[in-house]
This record gives sequence, C-alpha cells and structure tokens, in this order.
Amino acid sequence: MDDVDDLDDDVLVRRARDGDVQAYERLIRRYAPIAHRTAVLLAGADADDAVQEAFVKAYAALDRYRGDAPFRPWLLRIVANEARNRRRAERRRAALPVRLEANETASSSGVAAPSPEEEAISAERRTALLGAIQALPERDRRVVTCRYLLELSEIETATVLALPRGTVKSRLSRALARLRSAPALAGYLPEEVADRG
Amino acid sequence: MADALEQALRDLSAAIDTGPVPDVAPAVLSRLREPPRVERRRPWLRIAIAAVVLALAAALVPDVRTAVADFVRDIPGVVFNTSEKHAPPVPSVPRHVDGSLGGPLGLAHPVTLEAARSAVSFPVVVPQSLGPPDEVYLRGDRAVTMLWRARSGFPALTGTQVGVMIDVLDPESAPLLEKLLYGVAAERLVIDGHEARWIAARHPLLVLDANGIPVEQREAAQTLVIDAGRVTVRIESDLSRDGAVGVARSLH
Repeated sequence: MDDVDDLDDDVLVRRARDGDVQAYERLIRRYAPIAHRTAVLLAGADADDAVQEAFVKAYAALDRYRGDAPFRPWLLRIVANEARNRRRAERRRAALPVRLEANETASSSGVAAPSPEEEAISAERRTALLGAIQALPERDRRVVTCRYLLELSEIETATVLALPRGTVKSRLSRALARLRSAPALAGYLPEEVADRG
Repeated sequence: MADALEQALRDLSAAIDTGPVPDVAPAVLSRLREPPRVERRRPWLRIAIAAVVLALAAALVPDVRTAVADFVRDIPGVVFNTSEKHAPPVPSVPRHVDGSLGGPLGLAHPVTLEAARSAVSFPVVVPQSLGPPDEVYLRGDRAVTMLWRARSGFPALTGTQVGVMIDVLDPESAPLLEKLLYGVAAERLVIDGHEARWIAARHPLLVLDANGIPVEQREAAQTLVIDAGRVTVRIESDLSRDGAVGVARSLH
C-alpha cells in the first residue's frame, strides 16, 4: 500500500469520489479522532454510532463537497448533526462520558511539579468549569465546546454549527460572560476574572 | 485578550480525555461496499435528472435557484432532521376549544401585533400581500406566530380555520422548531439572495424547549422556511411553492 498520509484532503476526496474506497479509508483514519471527540463532547452517549453514521453519510454526500471549504469542518458538521440527533433522541442531557486527567500539567501557573494540593485544586477547578459549560444554554454550550474544547477556529465553528460567523462571535462572548458570572466557578477562576465578569 | 477564563478553558481542553477512539473504518467501509452505489454506476442518469430539475425550476421561477438535497442544512431557528432516528413520539399539542383561530393549533393567549413587537428583540415582519394578521401569539421570547383566517385562495389548514400561519423566529435563539423530514423531500431555494427550504408534503413538526428537547408535536402542512437575515420566517399554508414564495417576497 503506498503511503498517502501526506496527501491533501482534496486529493483524497477526489479519489474517494471517483470510487477509491482506500482513499476514503485514509480520510476516516485521519479524522476519526477529532470526529469521535466532537461526538462525545457535543452529544455524550452513542458517540461511536454517530461517528460511524456520519462517515457513511459524508461518503454519500461527497458529490456535494466542492472543496471551497476545508474538508475537516464540513465532515464535523455532519458528525455534529448526527450527534445532536442522537442526543435529542435520548431527550435528556446525560453526564459527559469523559475523564479529566489529573496529571495533565497544563496548569496556568506554568511552574514545574505542582504540589499534590495544587493538583487537587486544579482538578477541582476543571471539574467546576466543565460543569459550568454543561449548564450553559445549548446554543452557547455548543459554541464554547467547538471553539475551546475542540479547539476549532471561528470559521470552522461557524461551518460545524451552520451559523453565520457573526453569530458565533456574539454567542461566544455571551457564553464567556455567562461563565465568568457562573456561581459554580466562584473562587475557581483567578480573581480579576471572577470579579469583573 | 487571552484572559484567565480562556486560559482555564484551554487547560480544561488539554485535560479532557474522551476515551479510546473506536476503529470505525472497517464498519464504515463494509457499509459502503454492501449496496453498490447505483448513482455512481449511472452518472448519466444523475446528470439527466439534475438537468431536468434545474431546467424545470428555471422555467417555472426564473430567479429562484433550486437544488434538491437529501442533506438539508438547518436554517437558524428551525432544525431539519432528515435522519431516520429521531426523538420518540411526544405529546400532541393540546387543543384549546375557545373559538380562537389558534386554539386548535395549541396556541393560547393572543396578543396584539404591537404588543408582540414590543415584547421581542427581533423585527416582526408581516407579508404585505396578506394584510394584518387576524391573531398574534408570543412563543416565549423566541418567536411570534401570526395567523390569517382561511378565505378564498387560502383554504383552511386541516382541523383549523387558519388559511396561513407564519412564525417569525429569532435566529439567535435556540431552535424552536424541528421538522422531521425522513422520507420527505426538502428543496433548497434561494429567494432574492436568501436561503430557503420548501417542504412540499405534510410532515411532523416538533416544538423544542431551550435545550432542544421536544415538548410538543403536530402534523404540519407544506411549508416554506426562509433565512431572512435578522429573522427566520416559516410560512405554513395550502399554497403552492410559488404562492408561498410570493408571500415571502412581500414580507416587510
């Protein structure tokens, strides 16, 4: 099998559209991780199903992918729609099936080797922040999730959520304001943020 | 302004572990291989159908561009669900028998158009071709629903005395409505530069709460939904597509 991992998405899409299933398999392997993360963070349960269904639908829709927007957000939009449909089918908001890594030292202090106390505080803070995001209204939660937890750009977020870019901007700033004043976060954010939200 | 909250969000993102990524490739590929893709084997047929659809559309409505899509993009405020899987049935809208037009549609407490306009943050546009609405209802702060009594040229919607029902929705709010379109064709239109969808058949319509959870369901007639920019407008009536497009064009 030749190594096509460095081929552009566009090349792979073109080959897949012409019936080259192996090219599509490369796209699946390339984007399965972010697709999975998107489905889990936007929908919670049934992420595996949503991802599988999304890749099948995306293949069927390749003819309509014109390449004027990047493939990744185009695909993630299909994933997000699938995930949302599943989440809605459950008719309730289940707890996110995620784990917060205690040892991840991406802490804001930037100093080496946090003490166990510092670890405990940052773990608590992350739990509180995730809880506050989950408590946001759906439209705000989705924008924050795309922008910060999936680390998509503003344009990608707009594509994934099928929103105008201006709407992404305004929702995001409203959502951040809500988070700043969230009671659950009182004391967990550095003071200048908690106080001036 | 990378402030502390944004820093905390990035830190959170790095710490979130969404679990092992399942290897979906084998399952996806086997599903792709199962039924041979008929349309790929007969590209000429697809092209011919597309050409006929486009030619018909161009002939009928010169400045309405159209495309038939099975992957229908939502319009802000209205979700188009083409999936086979959707929410389990929810209660039908409670009908009020109070002599009002809106009662059979589950609408209660009509207000004046002026009151509705001052209660919401988005412009409540009215089609000039229909004149002032006979009844107006607030749907929380997310939408305003207007009803026109059935009359000549505007036959009553099933089970009501309503000839035309128009929802004006806030595109910034959580979607209020979800159309279940599995097996129902939705046509993408562009009306004077505005994205629109035409659904030519009856279909289930869900009313959603602010979290996107369905709270009510009813059967809707054919509908035109337009992204009019500052608002989304949904027109339900017995009108033909062109009739509905005409009403949409007179929105003011």
